[in-house]
Amino acid sequence: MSEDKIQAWLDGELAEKPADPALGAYEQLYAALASDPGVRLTPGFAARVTARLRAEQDRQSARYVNLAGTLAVIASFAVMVVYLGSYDSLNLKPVMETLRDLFLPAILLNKTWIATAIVCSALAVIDRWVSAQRV
Amino acid sequence: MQAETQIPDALLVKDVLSGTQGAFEQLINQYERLVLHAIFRLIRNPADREDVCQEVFIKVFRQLRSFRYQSRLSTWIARIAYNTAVNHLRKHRELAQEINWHEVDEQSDPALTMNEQQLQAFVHDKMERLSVVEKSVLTFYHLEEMSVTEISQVMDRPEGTIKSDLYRARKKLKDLMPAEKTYE
Repeated sequence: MSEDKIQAWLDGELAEKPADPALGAYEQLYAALASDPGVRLTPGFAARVTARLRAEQDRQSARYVNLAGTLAVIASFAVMVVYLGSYDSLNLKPVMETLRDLFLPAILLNKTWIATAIVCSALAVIDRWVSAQRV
Repeated sequence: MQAETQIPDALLVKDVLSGTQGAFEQLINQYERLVLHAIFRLIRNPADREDVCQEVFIKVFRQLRSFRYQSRLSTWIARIAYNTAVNHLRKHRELAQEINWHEVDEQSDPALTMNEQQLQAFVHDKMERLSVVEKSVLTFYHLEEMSVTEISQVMDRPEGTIKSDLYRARKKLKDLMPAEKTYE
């Protein structure tokens, strides 16, 4: 119980200093516990962590760029098929119908730039998402 | 390396989230000492320590968007560090190898005369015998000067339990120390 009081006093929770022979030992212990243990990380630690994060972000960016490129190719193909009008001889009717469904807004308005805008918006969203919180 | 200039937490978090060049490196410099202190008594291998520290900061970077200022940034980072270290110990089965306090032979020499530096080394050495929880509460309280409330948030334990852990850990160490009269 007296050691309770010693610890409480050393923690600043008691006003009255306990008269106990163990007080000195606890004072030494508290001083030792608060002393710097001298452990350090190797120099350049922060730079290594940020380099690792950058490498991971670059890999992720590459994945999204590939995705965006694929989307752009599909969109270009769709626009080409819709507006060239020579698809009948190639038997592309099923593909055409699918693409028409996918790009319905552009077809309804009959404006090429709508399809382009959709692709550009997708690219912008992806770019914004990838570039946020860079190291 | 301790950062020479401390940037306020809110500004630092804002800069990291907005992708300001060098902001995250600044955050690491400000908190690497805290993270290392949070884990170094739990993970003995220096190479593993550095890996765990890296893992902690990568988690901090990825989860920073979810930080809601419900605690100090240091408390939030210490919590990630403590949990990462405990998970590392679980993964490497080091928790099961903890020394059972009651089975340890008393090795302290009551006749030993110690100066201050020797006493520090002695105490740090004897801390190896404490449990993960005991080592951690002592480190957070005495070395990082966290309050019992903050330690409670870091370790997800009630404040009363933290106080008991602290008392018990200090008593164990004190009982291992040589007699007071032999200190220089």
